[in-house]
Amino acid sequence: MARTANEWNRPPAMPEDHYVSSQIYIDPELFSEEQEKIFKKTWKLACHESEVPDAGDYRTLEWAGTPLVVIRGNDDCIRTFVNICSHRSATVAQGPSGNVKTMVCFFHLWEYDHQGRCIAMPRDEGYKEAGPSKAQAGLREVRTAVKLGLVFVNLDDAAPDFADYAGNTFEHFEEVLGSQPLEVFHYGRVKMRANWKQWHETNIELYHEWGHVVNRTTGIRAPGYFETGWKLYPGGHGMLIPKKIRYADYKGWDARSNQTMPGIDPGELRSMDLFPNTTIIVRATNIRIDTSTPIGPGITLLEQRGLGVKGEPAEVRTMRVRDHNQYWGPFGRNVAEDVIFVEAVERSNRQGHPNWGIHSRRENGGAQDDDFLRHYYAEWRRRMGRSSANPSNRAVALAAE
Amino acid sequence: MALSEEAIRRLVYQSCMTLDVEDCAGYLALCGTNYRYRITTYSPELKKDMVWLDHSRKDLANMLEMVPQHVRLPGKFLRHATVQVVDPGERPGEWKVVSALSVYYTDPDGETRLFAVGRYHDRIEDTGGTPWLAAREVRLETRILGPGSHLPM
Ligand code: FES
Ligand SMILES: [Fe+2]
Repeated sequence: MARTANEWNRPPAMPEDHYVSSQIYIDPELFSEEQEKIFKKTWKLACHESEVPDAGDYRTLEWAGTPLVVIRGNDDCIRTFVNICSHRSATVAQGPSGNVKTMVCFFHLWEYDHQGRCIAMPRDEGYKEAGPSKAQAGLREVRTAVKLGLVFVNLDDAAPDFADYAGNTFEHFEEVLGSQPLEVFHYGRVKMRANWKQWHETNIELYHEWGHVVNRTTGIRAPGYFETGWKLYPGGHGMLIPKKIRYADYKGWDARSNQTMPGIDPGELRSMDLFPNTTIIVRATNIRIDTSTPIGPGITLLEQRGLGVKGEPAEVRTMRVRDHNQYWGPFGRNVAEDVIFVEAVERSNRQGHPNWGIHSRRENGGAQDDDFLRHYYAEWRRRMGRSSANPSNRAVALAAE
Repeated sequence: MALSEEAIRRLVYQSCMTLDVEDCAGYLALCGTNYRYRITTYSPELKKDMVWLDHSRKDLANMLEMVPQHVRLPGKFLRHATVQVVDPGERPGEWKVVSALSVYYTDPDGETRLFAVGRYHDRIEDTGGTPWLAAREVRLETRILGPGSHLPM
């Protein structure tokens, strides 16, 4: 039966952790609060180590409104600094990537080494009387952890170490990510009109696979699909228990049975998600890694990387790139659909209707259970100190009118 | 020569127009049996070239056949090409043709935005009056493409 306005506005009659308020996707104040309580306190994937292979190689990014530069030093250590000059705030490292012997600010040429120490100021005698000295003018270092080639950063000097943060979430990814050096062959970005959590939701619930013709054909129909589900880890992280996908059931594709990634079975799908916004997906022959940069409540810059094995023969790489592109990349069959899905949701949410997102599926922890979504939002609530079903009481106020 | 260049231009423009109306058979009819279609771009982040599609004629035909089953942007693409260079290729009857490309997207409400810019680098063959596409590399400048596209550019 269709519902009246009153019925429509009423929160769903189910436990509070079985639905979320649309406010969490659109409210600018909640977004600012997420910046402070989540983005500035959790570990963010900055890049893969293969993007800075040599001493002096750097990559820049912006995270939680802070420009960062990740640089490999002469001592082979990868460090991260706020990419702002200590003098008068010009950008130090220019462009998305580069290689430098030292980082020289292009404005008044203050110079920093790979360790972030200020090593030169032109005519530094001018600072003798009032300071600062070079020792007082280093860059701000940002905590950096390299896990299985993935470079993570954390803006909070007091946050738990990465190892404590991630716990055992990488337990089934040690071999695929860590047994051979990997290399990024695809770097793509999608600027979408959607909330950052919406994108991440597409990576932690499997029943939107009904909406993808590829996944309907090759995944949902594969034997055993419904039997395995998610393994959840403390901290809002989780992993999809590996599945066999029948890739050859999609027209023109092959079974992905050769040259699979290290430790991965033919046709296997394996994926893991690290709260709040890192996803690693292995589809037999190649790896996709997602991370996002939330720009505003309804604007997200998604970053996607495709990885193969470093130094592999050209024909193997060509095969991996082809397989990667079948699903992913801007001309893949899947990513476009996910963007269209989440943008459609955002268009409805944007208007501020007191809508709810329903996370109430229970399938004994099976593939299409919502337990990972509920687990993810439990961590969101813990960090935000707010209900995700009723974050500001406004929805309830509206429903009561 | 003049006639052939005119025919080459017409071929490039037809390749755009057939895709604009999703006439996949019409598009493939313009392509030779050994057609190779690629979309590439340079990543300043990785300091490397990236390949976003690399299809034989058969791969392309398979891909195009499945397109109607996918969830897609509901509007229309318009490919605008301007042929800029027509050079003789390595063999007789072969041409290297470079065209500037812009692709516009118009949503169902009639609002248009620029979707992507780049160039077509085509190898065109012509042994007896009617030229065909032997290979096309779509070299994109635009790398942030919104939802992307299920159809070739
Ligand atoms: S702002 Fe960098 S040297 Fe002045
Ligand atoms: Fe999806």
